[in-house]
Amino acid sequence: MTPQDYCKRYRDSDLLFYQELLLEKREAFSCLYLQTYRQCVPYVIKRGSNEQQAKDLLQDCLAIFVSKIRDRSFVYQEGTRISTYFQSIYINQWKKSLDLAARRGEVSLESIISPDEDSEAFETGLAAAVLQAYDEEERLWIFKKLDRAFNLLAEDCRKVLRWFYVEERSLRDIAGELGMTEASATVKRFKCAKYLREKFHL
Amino acid sequence: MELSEEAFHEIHHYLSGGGTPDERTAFEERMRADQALAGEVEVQRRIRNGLKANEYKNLLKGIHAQLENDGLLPLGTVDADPERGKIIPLNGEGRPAMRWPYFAAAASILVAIGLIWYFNSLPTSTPVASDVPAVEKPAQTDTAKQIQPSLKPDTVKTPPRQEQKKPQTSPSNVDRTDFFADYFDEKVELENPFSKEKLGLSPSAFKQWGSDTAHVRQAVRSLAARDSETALQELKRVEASRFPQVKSAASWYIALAYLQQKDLKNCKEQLKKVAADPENQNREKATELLTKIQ
Repeated sequence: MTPQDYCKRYRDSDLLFYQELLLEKREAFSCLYLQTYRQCVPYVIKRGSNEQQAKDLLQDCLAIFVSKIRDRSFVYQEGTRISTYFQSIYINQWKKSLDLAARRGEVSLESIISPDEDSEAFETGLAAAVLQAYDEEERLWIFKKLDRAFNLLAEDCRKVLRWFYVEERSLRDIAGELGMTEASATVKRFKCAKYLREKFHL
Repeated sequence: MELSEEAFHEIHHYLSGGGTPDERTAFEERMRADQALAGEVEVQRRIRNGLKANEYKNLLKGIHAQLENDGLLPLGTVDADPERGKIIPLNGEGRPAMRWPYFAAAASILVAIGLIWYFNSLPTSTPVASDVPAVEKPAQTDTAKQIQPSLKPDTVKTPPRQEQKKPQTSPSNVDRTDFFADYFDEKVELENPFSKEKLGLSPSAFKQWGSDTAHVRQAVRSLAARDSETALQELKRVEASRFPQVKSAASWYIALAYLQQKDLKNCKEQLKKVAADPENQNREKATELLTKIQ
């Protein structure tokens, strides 16, 4: 597929794009990834970041963004392009990570990056509460602490919690997969969730 | 708040959008009146969204790999603008790519020294090779051919390593972990079980495929970077994959990861498993490697 193919269906309708992201269509995810990668990564690389860092930040922020689309925290708005909205989140996070690294003494700026002549393009007036969901602290919690805790669970608990939390399958389905009654599956689900929460201090 | 099963069920019923509008309003009022309940709702929401985000990240890694394979990711054409603010990482961590040629050069020198020692240790007056035979290559080999160790030339030609008979060589003289380079293949081909026509159907299975293959590819990249620890972590996640081709690949690369770690005991056990699995495409290689290292 060419880049145009991945996004062909959504060229004229961002609403369709949003609806298919809600349905977790892979084509929509691929288009979103391609668009945001092409918009965001060269921007930060041009300003001194390396590709790996840029890519990691993109994947983290995009994963959170998609989960917000799915849980309706982000709702489609007429006149706002999804990829442009995300781009402002990404640039905001990149700038924050740069500030943090500079304060830690991990980077040395040869010249001050601001004023950035196109920085206004990324000022969306997004609320601090919206942006906070993408902050480094939250990303570390999700992609390091929570991920590590989840992978330390026994396999049966991982399966149950993945089916429940991620795939949102019914207890009846879960019981069927495990060969249990629905009542037993309910108890199993609760015990695994409680263990995850308490054992790893989430 | 001590979380009861009933409260857990109510919270997730609410978070998943369940209940009538009146029921949801009533639950929201309870949250306003009970801070502990509101706090627990937030914790459960965070866990729920966080686990989803982790799954999405795995999916995105898979998408990245696919787009990269398709040649659609545009980088390589963007040059850093020296006139703009340039960020110099103070501890060099921002430039890992710069170190690879040096690592490759160091690895090549070590291999050369190992080979020289090996040939010197043969019971016949095996001459020291004048050239490093291009047989055993480390993972990053682009600079290997450029290395010209200053060795003592000899008048007798040394046969290539594979043809050399070793009956008089003590097994302890052979470093069995050197076989890693012979058997490690950075190109992983995992046959996609989904046809393009079925794109969009069985989304959870397709997601799982994307996630599993991303883990395998990440593991292979880690092995190429000599990071067997990370490789093992990635591979362990998918060794029980529902997709036989992923499972087979994971089993094989786990054996190679142990070999890279010089953990021959676990390596042999893993190779035996691979060799005993009639569906594993790497069965023959596993048998061959097992013979060599035993």
